[in-house]
Amino acid sequence: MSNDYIFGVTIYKGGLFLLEIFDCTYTSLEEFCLARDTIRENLQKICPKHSIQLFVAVNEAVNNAFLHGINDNKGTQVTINMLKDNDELRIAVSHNGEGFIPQYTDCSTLDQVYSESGRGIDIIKHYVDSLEYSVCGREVIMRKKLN
Amino acid sequence: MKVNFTLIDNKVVIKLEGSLFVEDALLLRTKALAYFAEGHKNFLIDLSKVDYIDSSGLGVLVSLQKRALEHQGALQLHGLTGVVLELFELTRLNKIFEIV
Repeated sequence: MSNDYIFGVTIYKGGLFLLEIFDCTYTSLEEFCLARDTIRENLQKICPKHSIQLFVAVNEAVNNAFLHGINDNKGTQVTINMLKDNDELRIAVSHNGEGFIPQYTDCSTLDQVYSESGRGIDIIKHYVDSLEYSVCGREVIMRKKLN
Repeated sequence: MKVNFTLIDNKVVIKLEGSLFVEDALLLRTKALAYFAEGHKNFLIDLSKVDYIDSSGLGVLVSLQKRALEHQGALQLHGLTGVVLELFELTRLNKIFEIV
């Protein structure tokens, strides 16, 4: 893991806001594999009610970044940034490869249900309240209302 | 993830335990294809101790089912619960697999 690893930081702003931050960068899918349990545990602490669903969304987004977005010539970097701010959790998954915006396909249609790929985005959309892309497709931002 | 292959009445029974991630899915596919290569065409995958399957794992199950059908065989699933069942339902894969 890279040096910019922040785990479970809690910040009080004037006693009014509570922010919880998770920020970590991975340089290979193997490295991410080793960190999955930590991410699960962190999500359980940040958002126990939706932790499994949010873990599913994060895992799919990271898989997409490693499997579809990475240009190995640049050196792989996939970063997960989570920020809990009051009643919303914002999760950004970014990478340093080629930008891409996956085509959303409704995987429940008869044509798609027999497909061997293409379900990740559909699954993410099911588990978060909003999904958007930025940085020319190198970052996916997911938001979930926690209440 | 723990993966255990056994032959019962000429059916390949695959018991999975844990979470099925992309790296596990590739191994599962490779091992299952070796059984196809030996002439086996009927499979039962026990998912009762699986707590999560990612989309790569779902894709591998679809590919194995297609191969079984191409060989006039079958791939059955057993023991879908929790998030695993939810994922099958939201992707409607529960409609194309024989769940026993």
